[in-house]
Amino acid sequence: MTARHSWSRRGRQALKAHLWLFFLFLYLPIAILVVYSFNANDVSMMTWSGFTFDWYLRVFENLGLISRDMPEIASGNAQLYSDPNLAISVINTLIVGFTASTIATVIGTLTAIGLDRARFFGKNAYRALVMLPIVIPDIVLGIATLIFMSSIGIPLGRFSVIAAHTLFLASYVTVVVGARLAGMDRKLEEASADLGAHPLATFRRVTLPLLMPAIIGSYLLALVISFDDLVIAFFTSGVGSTTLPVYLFSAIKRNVSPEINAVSVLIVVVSMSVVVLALRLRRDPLVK
Amino acid sequence: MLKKLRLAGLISVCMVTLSASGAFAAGKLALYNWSIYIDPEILTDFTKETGIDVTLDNYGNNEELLAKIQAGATGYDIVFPSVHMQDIMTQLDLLQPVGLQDLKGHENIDDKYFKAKTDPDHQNCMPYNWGSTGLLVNKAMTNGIEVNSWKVVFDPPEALKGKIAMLDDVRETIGAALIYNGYSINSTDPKELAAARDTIKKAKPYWAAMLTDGVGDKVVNGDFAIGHWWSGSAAQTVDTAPDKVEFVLPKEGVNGFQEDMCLLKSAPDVKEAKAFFEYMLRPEVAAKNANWLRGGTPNKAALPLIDAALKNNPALYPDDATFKTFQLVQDLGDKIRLWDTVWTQVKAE
Repeated sequence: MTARHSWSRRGRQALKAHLWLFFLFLYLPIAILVVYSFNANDVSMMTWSGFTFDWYLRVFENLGLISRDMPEIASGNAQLYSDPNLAISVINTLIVGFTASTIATVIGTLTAIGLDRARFFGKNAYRALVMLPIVIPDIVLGIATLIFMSSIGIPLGRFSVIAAHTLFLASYVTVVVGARLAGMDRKLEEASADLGAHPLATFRRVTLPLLMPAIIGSYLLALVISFDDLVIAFFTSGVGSTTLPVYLFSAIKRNVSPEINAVSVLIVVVSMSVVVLALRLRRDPLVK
Repeated sequence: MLKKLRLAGLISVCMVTLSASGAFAAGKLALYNWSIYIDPEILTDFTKETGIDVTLDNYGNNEELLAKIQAGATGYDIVFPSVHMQDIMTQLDLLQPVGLQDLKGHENIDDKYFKAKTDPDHQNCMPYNWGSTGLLVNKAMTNGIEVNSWKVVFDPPEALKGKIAMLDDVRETIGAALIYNGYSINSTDPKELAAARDTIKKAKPYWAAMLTDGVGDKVVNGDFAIGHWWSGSAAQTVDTAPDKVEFVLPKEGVNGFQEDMCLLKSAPDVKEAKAFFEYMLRPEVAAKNANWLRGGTPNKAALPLIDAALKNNPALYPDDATFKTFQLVQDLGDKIRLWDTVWTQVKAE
């Protein structure tokens, strides 16, 4: 009787317990947030006083997705009005995220291919420099980008946030796609060339499809990182280009409307869907 | 999938084009303000009347405002720093004088309110909103205990031990301890700061928490009997549960705060900004905003239009004798390091 693995039974149980605890630690706060986003109490967010969809309806109305007659909020409470800026910030976040991720994916993929295939002087130093935006703290990157932009006269707005995000997201894409390239079987490309395909055709029909899971995966990763970024967006956003994290960060220091819970839940849902999609698309086309 | 990706790319490119072609209409104005610190209806009314498009962006505190503007963020016209931050921004040459004396309605501003050191006549910036930091009290839980002094949080009676929340804020909490000991809220004397530190160290075991958000809710619920809290937020809480809670200003004096409306040196829309200053000087506009904020308006002419419930609350609109006990937080320059040391010692307990 040989053990199928080297773990003792107790060790396995401990590991299982650890996994569950870790899972709980990670997701319990989010679960609580989800529950309380349906709380009807508009004065005290953490005191349960009934179930309501109202906060979600308010968010959707703010985003212009639905229109309905809003009941007047009692006593014109300043902490409880639907803030049009919330909707604007959600739209800004989506525009910045999709635009920056798209551009960063193109730039990052080409950079990764260049680093993998081309020979040029200082390649290793270049490779290290590409990693830099991932390694240095956000706050340094944010302030440096802001100072650079204001010194060459780029006005702050959506464009500057997109530019700053593109800059550091491209590094992530380069690393992910680069890893895939390193593990790729070059024989497939050689075979394609051997069979008389033009280099461009080889790239389009062989290399790109092989890289596709990594490209899509890194695109979605970039999207989530961009949605999530507070510090860089804070420094580089200008008039009318506040993103959602920046909005929440400034709003949370004063009184908070329960709408924020609803928005947070929606963001979690969107981010999780993106991650699930990413994991599904990462399947290797050559491994059945 | 590739087709979908191409589509996404196309949409993204369209989005960039759209965002880059932002309309440059004549007459725009960009405000950079604390969040939830101006009645949104005032902005829409202003646009209706003047045709000027207003954008509003938010920051969370004075330091964020300074960091952003100092690093060269441009495009904003009007900012709302606290008085001591106005001094810092003036010294760094980030503001330009509004010239309040030339604006219609400038005589409505009451001269008694806080003045920045760099602006002794209220000419560079316009006083916007003021308030104080006092104690929000759960009436049922403090039944029979007199709450009119800082003593109740720094030397609490047995019944309140473990039911007190203080602000997690270096200037507010050390400031309160300094006032309790009879010193200035802007003291930089190491002996006085040491006394404040010892007061806090002695009291801290009896405090339930130190935080800067959600105090109002927790006092209503009875999690805390007493919460160290800002007047505007406290007034909103009292509005929702007037039978349960009240707001009290300790008799030794309190931290008074005031934010001013200032014009940035880099403002692209000076003409529109001045129009907005004039608009905010109107009594009915100032009153509408103060009622919405539950704040103190520095506009004399607006006082008759303030909601009775607010105006009759001595903690929100104190008489002159009480107002004299308000101490304004000043910029301490390098000496803030002393405070930080004390704060670290207190927090490390």
